[in-house]
Amino acid sequence: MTSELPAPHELVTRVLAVDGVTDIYAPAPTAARLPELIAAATGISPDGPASEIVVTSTGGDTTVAARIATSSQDNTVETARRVADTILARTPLDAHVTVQVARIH
Amino acid sequence: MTTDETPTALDCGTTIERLTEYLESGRTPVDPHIESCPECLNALEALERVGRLSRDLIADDAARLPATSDGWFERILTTIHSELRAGRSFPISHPDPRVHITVTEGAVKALLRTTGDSLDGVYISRTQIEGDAETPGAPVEINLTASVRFGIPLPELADELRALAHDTLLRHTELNVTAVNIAVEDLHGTPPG
Repeated sequence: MTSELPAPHELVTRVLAVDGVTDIYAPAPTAARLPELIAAATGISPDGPASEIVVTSTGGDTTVAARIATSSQDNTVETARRVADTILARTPLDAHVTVQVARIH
Repeated sequence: MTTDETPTALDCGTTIERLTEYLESGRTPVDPHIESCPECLNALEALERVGRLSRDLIADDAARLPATSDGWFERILTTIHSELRAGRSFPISHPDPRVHITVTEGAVKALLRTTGDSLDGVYISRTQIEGDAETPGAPVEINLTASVRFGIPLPELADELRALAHDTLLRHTELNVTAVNIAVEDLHGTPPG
């Protein structure tokens, strides 16, 4: 747990290191259309480098979202929980974490 | 068959024609979108398998093949296209209320296809997840439709496929699977003699 959000690219590195994660993807098309909402909390400009993990802040609520692929050799339920725990450990107490498994292979 | 309601593209906008063309070109030159889009990759995998099946059938003695309806491959391609969209979001629980985890319907269907196709002589042509799968604990039924190579004992195969699909879903989702129904709609391959 931290009081500040890390840069999205740092979260990407952490998430990719989680056992059972095989890939991480850019947000789904609908989420990708919200660049102006990115990172009021992080201070990172939407014009900055693109990241597969998106941080949005709307109405004071901060959400960190990751879209991942998991290995079919592992247990996807446990892998996804480990990813959520990894992000939680690096986000402020009031942040919400969304993990979407988009591919199992 | 295609209808007005049949999706013409995945959620990302990529069409099955584009994916087929990309596969036929040996995935070169590399398309950065396709290679980094989960829906496209799920569909590519399914298309690769149906392509292999198609080549196997063509390599067989066509004159001895049991009748396969003309639209069989077209139906499969259309089904792949519509099934592998992201679709619904199935919840995965987490003890922290700030966490929201889901697995997409497209990912689960692609996994079911891969799992079923791993059995010798089986090609999964359709997957359906029936029920309110977006509500935790709600009962859901799985319907798998398969094409099976001629000569494989169907009752044993159905049992094996049912058990495999059930185990896979237990391992990768929190769906409350109350039934896995297997339908064999086609036989492929060459009958003996």
